[in-house]
Amino acid sequence: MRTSDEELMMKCRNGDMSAFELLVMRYKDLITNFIYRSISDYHRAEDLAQETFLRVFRSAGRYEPKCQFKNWLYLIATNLCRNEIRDRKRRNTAYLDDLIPDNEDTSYVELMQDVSQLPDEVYEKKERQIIIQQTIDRLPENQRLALLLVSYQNLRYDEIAEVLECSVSAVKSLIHRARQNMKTLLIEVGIGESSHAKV
Amino acid sequence: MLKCENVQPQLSAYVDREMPLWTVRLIRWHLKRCPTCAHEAMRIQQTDKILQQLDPVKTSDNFLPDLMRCAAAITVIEREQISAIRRILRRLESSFAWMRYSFRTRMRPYAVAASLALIVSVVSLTLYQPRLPLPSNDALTLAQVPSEKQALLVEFEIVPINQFPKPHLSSNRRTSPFTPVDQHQER
Repeated sequence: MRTSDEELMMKCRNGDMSAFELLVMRYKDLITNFIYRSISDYHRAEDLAQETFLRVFRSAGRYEPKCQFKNWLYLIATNLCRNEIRDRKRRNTAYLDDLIPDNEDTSYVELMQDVSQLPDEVYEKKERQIIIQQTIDRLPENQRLALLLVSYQNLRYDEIAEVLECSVSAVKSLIHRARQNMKTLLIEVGIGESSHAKV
Repeated sequence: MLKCENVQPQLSAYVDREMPLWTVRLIRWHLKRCPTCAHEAMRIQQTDKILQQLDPVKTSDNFLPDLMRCAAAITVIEREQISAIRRILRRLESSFAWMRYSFRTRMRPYAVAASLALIVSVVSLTLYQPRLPLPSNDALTLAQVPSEKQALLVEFEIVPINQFPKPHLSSNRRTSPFTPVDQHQER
């Protein structure tokens, strides 16, 4: 039987390191992906994911299983992402990492090994992914986070409301606006269907 | 009937299946009849499909060992800082929290059943009235009582309150016996 996250967290509270390790194993990829999609910087995303888990570990003593562990974890990660986005805005810094994906070389190598796709198809796919990521980056902070949580993390609206600390109706409207903006921005960059192509 | 301006803001929630079933049916019914809203819904789904084209990233191999090393360092520092009493208190606190958690998650049905049983027993005890013995029919009439014992019987008469005789008060008793007597009058 699969031990629940909350039970593992209670064990972790009592100093059980293996329980903490199991929790990290369960969520490390999800959290890193979420942070990476929010800030578009792979190395920084890994750092922030580690910081998220360390914060969980540090506050394990105060942990009360009032809400789902997953939501609490995403709440911490979201706060770290918000801080990072605001820091970047304040510094007004453009990172080279933002322009070139960090794991580009390795991904290309992996994709090139796939003989089912032609090299130009691989290149096109990669270019497309970069454009999509850049489009996501252009969304306002809250809309971006809400869209990422629903599209990539498959969280329910009530869970997102808990993570973003707002009401479910606010989440509904955030996601709707995010999708509308995304659709417009994707048409601008030439991906997706134009508004009057097909009615 | 639903209008387009009411349906379109709901389309995202409709695509994500984040609404009650009856609303889903209403919107589906509207989409069958309204090509504009149907197209809008299709475009939302397309946007979602485009978003799904991003490949997920994986954490590097050093992620977990580095993290566990940092966590272990935190534990050592904390152990050095926290005194034995605080450690015991923390252990107690965590076990209480664990009990609260397991009560909330596992014992809830039993707790509900026990409280219901308690409520029922308290209510039934409150409403229960023990039956008093009915007066027996073996009471004797006056004629049946032996004559030597008839004198022992207490006689009583029921008098209506308006016919109740007023107490006879003599004139000298009208003044209170405690009224001080005027010495001049006495002379």
